[in-house]
Amino acid sequence: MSSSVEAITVLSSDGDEFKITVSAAKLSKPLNWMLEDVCFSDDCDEVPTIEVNSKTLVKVIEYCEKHAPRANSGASDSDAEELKKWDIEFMKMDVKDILFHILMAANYLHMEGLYDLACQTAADLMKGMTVSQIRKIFHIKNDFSSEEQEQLRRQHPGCSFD
Amino acid sequence: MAKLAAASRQDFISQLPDEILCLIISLLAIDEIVRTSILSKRWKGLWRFISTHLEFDGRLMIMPLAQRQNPEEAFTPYSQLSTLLTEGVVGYGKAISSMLFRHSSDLLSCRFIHFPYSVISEEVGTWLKIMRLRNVKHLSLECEFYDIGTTESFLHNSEDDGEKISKPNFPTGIFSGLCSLELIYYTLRSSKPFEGCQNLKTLFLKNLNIDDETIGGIFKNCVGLENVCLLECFGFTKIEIHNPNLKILQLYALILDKLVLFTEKLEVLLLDTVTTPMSMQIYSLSLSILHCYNHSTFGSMLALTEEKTVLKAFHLLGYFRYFWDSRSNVLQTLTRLSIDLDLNDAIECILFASFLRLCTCLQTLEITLPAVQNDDLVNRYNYWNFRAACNFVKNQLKFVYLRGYKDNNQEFEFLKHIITKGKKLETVAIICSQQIDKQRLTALTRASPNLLLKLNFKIHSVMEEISELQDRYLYE
Repeated sequence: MSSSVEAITVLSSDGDEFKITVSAAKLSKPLNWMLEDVCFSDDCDEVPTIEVNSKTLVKVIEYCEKHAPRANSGASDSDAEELKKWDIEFMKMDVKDILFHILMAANYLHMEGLYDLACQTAADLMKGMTVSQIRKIFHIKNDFSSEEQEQLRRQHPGCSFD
Repeated sequence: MAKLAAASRQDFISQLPDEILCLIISLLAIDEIVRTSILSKRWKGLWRFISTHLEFDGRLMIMPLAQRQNPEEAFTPYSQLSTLLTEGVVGYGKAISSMLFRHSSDLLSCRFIHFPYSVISEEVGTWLKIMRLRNVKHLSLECEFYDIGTTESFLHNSEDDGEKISKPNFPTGIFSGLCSLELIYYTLRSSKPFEGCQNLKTLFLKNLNIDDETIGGIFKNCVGLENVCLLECFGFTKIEIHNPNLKILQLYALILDKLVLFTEKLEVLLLDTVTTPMSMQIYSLSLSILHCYNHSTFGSMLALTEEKTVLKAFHLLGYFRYFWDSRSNVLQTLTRLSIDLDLNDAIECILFASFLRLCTCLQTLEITLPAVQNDDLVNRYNYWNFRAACNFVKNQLKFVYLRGYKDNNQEFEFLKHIITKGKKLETVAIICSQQIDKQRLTALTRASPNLLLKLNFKIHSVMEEISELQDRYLYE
């Protein structure tokens, strides 16, 4: 890879082109491998495809660009606090849809920070909720018969199910 | 449009792979984890494959969601809720055991918070045996200090009620195989559970009643220890560690008569509100960070009741020749010094400066001024003003953090001393809780061209600092 390259172009699974800076791409192991590979050298026209849809990829790239300076240099504690606040804002997204695409993308791109953040966000949505509330939030369909449900209650003494 | 609405009603979360779902639910409290089983068939029994971390918090397991909002009533003996909870306390230990048996994958880390009843009924031992079967590497055990409900009725037959409550009968060698262990609120009278703990690297002991023989035995058995933290433990008077692997040692609020450390790789030593030992010998070839504070109120009270004095930083530094083993080369390895010091007290300053002059690698100084000013005016004469700068200040010192700055004259003179003389200074951060005369500081002629002078306003919170420190070394 030539050192003059500052941003690379990738394709989403929908076929849209996206630009991502080299320092941001380094947050993802597979992207990092691609960088080291020949495919970004100047004499190569081929644009690599990332198996993530456009809507999700926009978010993932936004996260990478924000976190890249800190990951590459190691910033001070006050920056870390600010970044945490930004993460919380960033995760206030449409629950039913994009969060889970982000989870899958973070898993696929080996991005530990984003993966943990998304898992925590999903868990926070469940915290302190009753079973029926969780079902409602995530549109989970209750496919147990009433007998099965009764049996489950008996199997878990000491835990409340409301 | 209709298609879009249908899509947003789709159950996306259930489509995630098991591995991700397990990680998500492992972040919940134990009662909530189990409840996910009745969401739908997809979720049934999924928790049994959690392989990262499980946390059994007895306080949550016996309290239905609605009652969690009102915990006070639960802690009042003989209240209606309390009686109900007593039944819960008796039942939940069995529930944990049966859950552990049903859990069916290896588990990396596990934490239990239980009530004294589980110690008396020896359920804790059962859980620990299952932990070994599941190859758990990181274990944390905590006995709830305040008893919930009333378990007195179970204790009447026993003679030594008081002790038995928190004195578990851990099986021999039960902790072997662990990498890290946390024990909180127990009485330990035998080091046998620690037999075969060569792989144990991190040990965190808090609020333990432990005798000299047991603590000695623990350190003898755990030869691989790298990170040790003793917090508010009592019942013993000496700590002797002969361990070539130990890297980090933190001692908080302890009564010590004897402290012997033969730990050649020790890099970080933290002493917070430890009584001045009658004999103290420290041997390390790698000590680079030294903390010495008096932040713990518990420790001060403990020292007061035992009529002992608390070890002060300037004492440790000023008389270091008596403490450090002559083969140690602490002066050549120390890079960061983090202490309580009253810059207004000339005697403290003299002893502090006499130590600084000898350091060859020290670069970072962190000084916390006392939150409450001592009114003793005997030693209030100006010290820094008349000092020629030593080689250390001139050519080595790079970072200075000063907490609790009140802009007193002597404090200012110290800053003036280092700012006007330190040629290598990079950062001087001053954290003050009140308004100060900034002009006076910024007007000083700086000896170093790269100096960054930072001023922060922050209320002096000792508790926050302590927990920050513990976290810094424990979870690094």
